[in-house]
Amino acid sequence: MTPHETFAALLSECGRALFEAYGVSSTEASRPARVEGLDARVAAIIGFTGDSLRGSLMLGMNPEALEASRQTERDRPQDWIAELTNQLVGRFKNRLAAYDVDIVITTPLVIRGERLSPVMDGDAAPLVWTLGEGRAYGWLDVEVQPGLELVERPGAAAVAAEGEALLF
Amino acid sequence: MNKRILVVDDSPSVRQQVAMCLEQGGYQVVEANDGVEGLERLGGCAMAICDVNMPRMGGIEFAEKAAGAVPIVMLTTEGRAELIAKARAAGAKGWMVKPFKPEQLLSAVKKIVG
Ligand SMILES: [Mg+2]
Repeated sequence: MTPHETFAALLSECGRALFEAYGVSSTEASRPARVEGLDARVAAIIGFTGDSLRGSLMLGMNPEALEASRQTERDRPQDWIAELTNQLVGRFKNRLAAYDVDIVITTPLVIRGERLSPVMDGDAAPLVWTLGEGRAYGWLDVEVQPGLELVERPGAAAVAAEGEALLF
Repeated sequence: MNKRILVVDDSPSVRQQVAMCLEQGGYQVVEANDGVEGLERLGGCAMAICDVNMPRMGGIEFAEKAAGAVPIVMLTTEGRAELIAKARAAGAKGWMVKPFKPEQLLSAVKKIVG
């Protein structure tokens, strides 16, 4: 697997687990053949840097996906997408720790519009998660240092279990 | 009177979810958007629940400054052992990785402030 294939696999897995944690089951992430049909209306983007890589992750949603995953009615769409993106990147970061890769992440930036879709090098199609009637889109744009090889070493960096309270 | 808990997070969504959970558990909630605001609103609170990555002042620095005054539990997407050790050294009393489970959060709060 190339680093980019590994990143895509991790993103797919992280997205599925995140939506599940909020009570929304999602179908296997897939890539659309064409980007014209994308209907993300709100998105958030987070940048990250590490010793051997840098990039950004953008998570977009159509209104149905946002509604399906939202936890309280008082929550504004822009706040919720920002936090979901934060938690998605957080998961991605924690998964990368098993490959001995550490990244520093920025706070999320929210974008609203019609048919949001960034232009990227190479494969521009996002990962798509289907959440009931809704769709969530993930764009991962990563530049890696030439020669970077990602090898998973379980236990390389201990990561606390999600949701559990660890009291000292 | 209900015990007051300070919730420090730059995400309005998280503050709202945590506040809902704590209010259902019978606590009163004070919210702050970052560590600086957190320090200003700490007075009268029985404990603080605090994010790590925030603008102006992050959670570790907040813990360094506030842990002498109240018990602090960190609530964050971060999960790496070295960061947890830093928070502990700063005086934090606990660590939870988001997304949180409401019953876990409430039971941690009950253990700390009763
Ligand atoms: Mg934060």
